[in-house]
Amino acid sequence: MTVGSGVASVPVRARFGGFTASDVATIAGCFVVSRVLLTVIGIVVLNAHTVPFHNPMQTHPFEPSVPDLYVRWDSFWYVEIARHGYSVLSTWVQPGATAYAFYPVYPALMWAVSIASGLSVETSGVVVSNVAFLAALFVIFRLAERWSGDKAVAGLCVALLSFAPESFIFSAVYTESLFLLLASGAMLLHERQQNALAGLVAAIAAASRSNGVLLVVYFGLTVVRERGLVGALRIWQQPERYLPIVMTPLGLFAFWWFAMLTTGDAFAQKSTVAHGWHWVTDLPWNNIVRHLTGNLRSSLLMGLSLAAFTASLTLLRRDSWPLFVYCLVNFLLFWSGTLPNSLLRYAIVLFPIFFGLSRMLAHRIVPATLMLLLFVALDALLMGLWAIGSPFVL
Amino acid sequence: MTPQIRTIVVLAVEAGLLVAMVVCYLYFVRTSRDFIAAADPIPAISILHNRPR
Repeated sequence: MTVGSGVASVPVRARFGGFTASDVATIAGCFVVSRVLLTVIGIVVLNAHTVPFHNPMQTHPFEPSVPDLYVRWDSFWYVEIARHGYSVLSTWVQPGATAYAFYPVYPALMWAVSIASGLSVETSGVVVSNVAFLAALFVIFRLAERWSGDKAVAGLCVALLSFAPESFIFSAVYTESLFLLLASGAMLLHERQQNALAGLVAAIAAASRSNGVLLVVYFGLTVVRERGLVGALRIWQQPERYLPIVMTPLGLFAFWWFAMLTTGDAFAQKSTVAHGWHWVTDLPWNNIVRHLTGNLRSSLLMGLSLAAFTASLTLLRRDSWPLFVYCLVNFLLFWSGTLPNSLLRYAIVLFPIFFGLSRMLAHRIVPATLMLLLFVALDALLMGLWAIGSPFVL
Repeated sequence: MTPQIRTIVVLAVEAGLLVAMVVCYLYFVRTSRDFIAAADPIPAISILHNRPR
């Protein structure tokens, strides 16, 4: 596609960093429509709801507006870290719970944006999340197009991700959207053989969420897929390919060192979630049975997590099996926790699932439309529950 | 830099990082103490001092 009819015409693609105008319209359209729709639903629900959401930190009265709508639950911890840094002190309402439960990259960015712009840390968090989500949609579009060779698949992938159940979390003061950007960015750089840069981005991902370090599984298995098992063991042949595998854990080690130097406990994150949130581990299959046979909330959350895992089975093909195994090890980590809270939220950062679904549905108009409508309905319902501070959506 | 030297340098960097991470991990396992439990110690009670006379 070119602009004008002259000999020196410039391809339209080149004007948008490799994206055509149609690509940009698709990605920006999904972002804007989904964010506006969810925000309107949240504000309407908050206005209609008689009991206002209780702000546990009592920083200011909560209002049915942005950014307050997107500051819930763990958001308060990120706001505290961005304002005052890490502290070993815990609140009397939740003994043992400290800021060390949360990884540092996202609140550090909130702090930096707040300092640079003069915005409040809450607003800075909402800005960071939304910018990261929009950037992630561009990266994921490019990855999905590269993996499938089909723009229809890439377009449906970003649409499903934008309206995925609980996708409003990508605009909230939570780490999900930043992690989505870092994980997809590391994968794209790895695809382009920019190994050192992929390792650096993956290391930052590992310092932003606990499952970031699992990117090593994707990098390692991608090398196996490219070279075969025997070829992958010959690390002296193109050793740069292994840099992301070695560099990814550096982010986690940096956090461990920080915790060690400030508390004397490198594994402070594990200690505080055990004491403050009663988060302990058990075998995944034990937890699956426990959650499915528990109360309505835990069985629903586990059911939705299992549905997401079932969707990841669409990645079981010769060209995408490393993506499936990457999702599998993440699910095993999620299911190893004895608390069912947030199982759906954890699952939606596994964007390869949406790629797998899109590849299956992209040229089937009716199933694709039904899937998208189901996602929009669930996302809208959960947004309403999020707005009123329902513990169903943590 | 010749390809051979480049390969050796990259392998050396990777090996160095791996060794550093293993050493750090062993150090953490050996010296880390649960900081929440350490902040709320259980008072030691001497059995000898409470022994009935």
